[in-house]
Amino acid sequence: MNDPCPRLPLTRREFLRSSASGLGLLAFSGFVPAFLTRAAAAQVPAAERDRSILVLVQLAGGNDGLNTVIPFADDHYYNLRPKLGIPANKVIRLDDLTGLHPAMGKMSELWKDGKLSIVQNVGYPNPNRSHFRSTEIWETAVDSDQTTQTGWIGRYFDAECSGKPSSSEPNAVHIGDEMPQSCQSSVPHNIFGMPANGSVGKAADREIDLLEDVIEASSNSGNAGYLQHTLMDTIVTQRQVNDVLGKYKPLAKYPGSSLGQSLQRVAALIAAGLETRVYFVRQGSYDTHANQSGRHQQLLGDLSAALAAFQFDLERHKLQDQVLTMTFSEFGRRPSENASIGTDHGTAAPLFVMGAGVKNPLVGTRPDLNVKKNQDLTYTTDFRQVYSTVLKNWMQADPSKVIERPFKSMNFV
Amino acid sequence: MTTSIKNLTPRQAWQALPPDEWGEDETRHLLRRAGFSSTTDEVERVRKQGLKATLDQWFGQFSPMPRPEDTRLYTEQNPAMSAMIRETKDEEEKRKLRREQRQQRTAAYQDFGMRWLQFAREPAHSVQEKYVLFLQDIFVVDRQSIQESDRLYNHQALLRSKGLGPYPDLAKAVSRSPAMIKYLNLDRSTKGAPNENFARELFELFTLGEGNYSEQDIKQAARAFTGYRIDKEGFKFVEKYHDNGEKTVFGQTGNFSGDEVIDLVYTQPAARTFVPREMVKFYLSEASLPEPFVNELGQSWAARKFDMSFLLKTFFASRIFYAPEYRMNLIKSPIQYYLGMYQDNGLDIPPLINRTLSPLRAMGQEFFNPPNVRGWVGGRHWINATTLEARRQLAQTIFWGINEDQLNADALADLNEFRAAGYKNFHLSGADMKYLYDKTPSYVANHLCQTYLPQMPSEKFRLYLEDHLAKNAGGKYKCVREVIQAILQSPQYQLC
Repeated sequence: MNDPCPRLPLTRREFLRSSASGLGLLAFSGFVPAFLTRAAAAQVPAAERDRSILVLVQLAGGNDGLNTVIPFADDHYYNLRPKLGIPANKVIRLDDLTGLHPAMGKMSELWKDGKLSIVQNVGYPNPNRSHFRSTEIWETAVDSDQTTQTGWIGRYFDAECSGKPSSSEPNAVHIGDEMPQSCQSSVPHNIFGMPANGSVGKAADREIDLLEDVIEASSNSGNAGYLQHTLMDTIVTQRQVNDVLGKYKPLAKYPGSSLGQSLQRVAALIAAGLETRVYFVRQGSYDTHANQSGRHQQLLGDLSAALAAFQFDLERHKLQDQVLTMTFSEFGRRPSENASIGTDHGTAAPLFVMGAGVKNPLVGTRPDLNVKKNQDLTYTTDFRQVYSTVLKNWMQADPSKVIERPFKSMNFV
Repeated sequence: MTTSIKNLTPRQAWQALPPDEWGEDETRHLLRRAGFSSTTDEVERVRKQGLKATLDQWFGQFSPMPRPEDTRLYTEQNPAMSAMIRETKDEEEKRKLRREQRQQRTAAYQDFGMRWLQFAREPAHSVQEKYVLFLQDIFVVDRQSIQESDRLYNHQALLRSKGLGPYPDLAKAVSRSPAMIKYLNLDRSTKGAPNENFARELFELFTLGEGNYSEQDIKQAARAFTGYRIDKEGFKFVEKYHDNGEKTVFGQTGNFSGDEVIDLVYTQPAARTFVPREMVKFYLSEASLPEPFVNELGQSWAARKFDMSFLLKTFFASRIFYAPEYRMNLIKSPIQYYLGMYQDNGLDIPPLINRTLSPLRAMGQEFFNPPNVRGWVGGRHWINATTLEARRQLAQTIFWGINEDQLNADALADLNEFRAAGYKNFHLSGADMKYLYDKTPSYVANHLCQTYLPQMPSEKFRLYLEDHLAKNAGGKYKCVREVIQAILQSPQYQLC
């Protein structure tokens, strides 16, 4: 070996390739991440191409659903929104009643190709209009008068992954500074976070090398061992992720926005065959109280371009069958516009499900716009019904282990 | 050598540590668990002072934290602001004023957070403020629901001022804390529609724990807490909203007030063990102690009328607290990791958001912002790839000087104010490390491990550091800095 300081292999696969017996590495390092020893013992890599992957896109701030999926044939809509209503002749028509915002041309193409499903009028009983609290409700997926520590994705991991050997490859990857509450679980899982731009884990190589030495310098049990493993896993994953991102050649043109860059990173990690099942990205900020039009147009244009690029990129890499992408937002906005040509916090809104596997272009029922000024929409599909469907039909998981109450599956996937 | 829990009976476990077992390691353990760090000076002082005298001093009386100036100003000016918003007709103008009000509110909260860090960083306040954090994690309120920083401040001040007395008195005081009343919607509770939120959390999270009360107890107790309101002056009891009728709680029937319900709680056996159990979880071990041990402590606490200073002193003086299985096995909370690192390096808290509240948020413990009414779970829940990366970055930032050219006027004013008060040392500079430059690698590695780590690491650990120093690539400053950084990022440093 020419390298005076042998590095740990980047992926399990690389490791297995690196030595015929799969045990060579153990001989020269006193400490290796848990996944390597287990994989070595098992001698077989887990199947990596047959997993279904879920990508969650959070539209933070409360997206105005009525100006996203537009009921352009409904007079109530224009009565409620004399200034903000999108004129019927500008709307991208999906059918005789429903259309998309003019900035969403690319998403309308996905819809026409059967790759995009719209779940209409999604919400929950006793809606809360605080950003913070309502986001928490969506992420923890419990009744609005209940609180819990764990998120729905975290509980999914608790149900599906506990008892199985953990891997150094993350169960979930989120983009942004903070771990989303969706990923909060009862028992720890490998949840990895990274920024939308720049290198992951900013530190000089020699600093990381020294830290790695220090971590492996003793073998520990209990919390010390737990820290040792998690730190090592983090460093290995950071190196692996940086390597993957550096080498990735996207086959689609992503917008330069934070969302576009985030999704490009997700595509890179999926293409690298990581074992990660869930990705979480955010787009802000939809809190359009005043002068909504320009801002909303820009946000939806970005969303549309980024999602389309992502889907196209996956297709060019022949990964489209493996990935389902879903948006959510903590609430929709009030049907009637306010005096500042914006909209205030509301309740129900549509969400989008994208992928080669989606079934019906339009599911759920349209919102009833026969409301008084400042009255809110009444949801017709509970978001937990959407989650349950995704868990059961896409992730092949048992929703009853994740969502407390039973919900009937829908037919979008 | 101290005694393992395996060789202690429950009664022996809570007896005071024999004086001949009080040594340097025990002192370090006490300082890291009761406070945030064990610096050489403090270890020396506390060891000499002795265990009992130290605990008497710590838990005799707490020092109040001064009300932050920004919070005071905000409270003073806010009514006028609110009136202005009310009177403004123009929607656009109203919106602008509201935004300004929000910004002032956020600024006051952030200022409070930074001042608190500075206050808690003082070694003289560390033990009391860690205990205040313990109480804040029981009597949870959060900034999202409370908004006004004076209410947060008052709530915290209440925990501090009542925290050493009888626990039932503390619980009664908290039931009158405007922040708590708002957080659990007690102010909306009326005779006709009693709100059960407070009564439920009182039993479940403040005093008894799940499974030690019935739904009926909650319903009835909720009626006793009707009529609690807040006005400008603070707590107010409004007779006409109060349900004066007979209630049956824990099998006792009477025309109970809220305070009387709390007294009834303290006739319940579960009340004796709830707080001791929480204390074990926070200060000693994620795994709970066997029941007989917790019961024993609960009995003697009850016999002392649930006095908290008795409980604290008994706990920290006990043989079980120093048992070998509880050393070095607790994961530092983000606040402890943060404040401990500043104390270990003799650094002052920089009055900048991106050096204080932002890293705490990234590490998962934002000031007064727990995930929900249960508070932070702690332990291994503090640790994941994201939070570890944030911890790693924190260990880098303590070497960064402050670039004053890039500060806005407010931040610069804060910085100058801190400096005027004598806080100047905001980062670890070359000058601070220079004394090590002419020493041998082996001396430096040893010295740094001794300074930062609660226990000498393995030979191999030190040899890696020595090697790094011996290579001297990039010069002394760079090498020493990298070695300190690696120690502060190591698994060992995350434990206390």
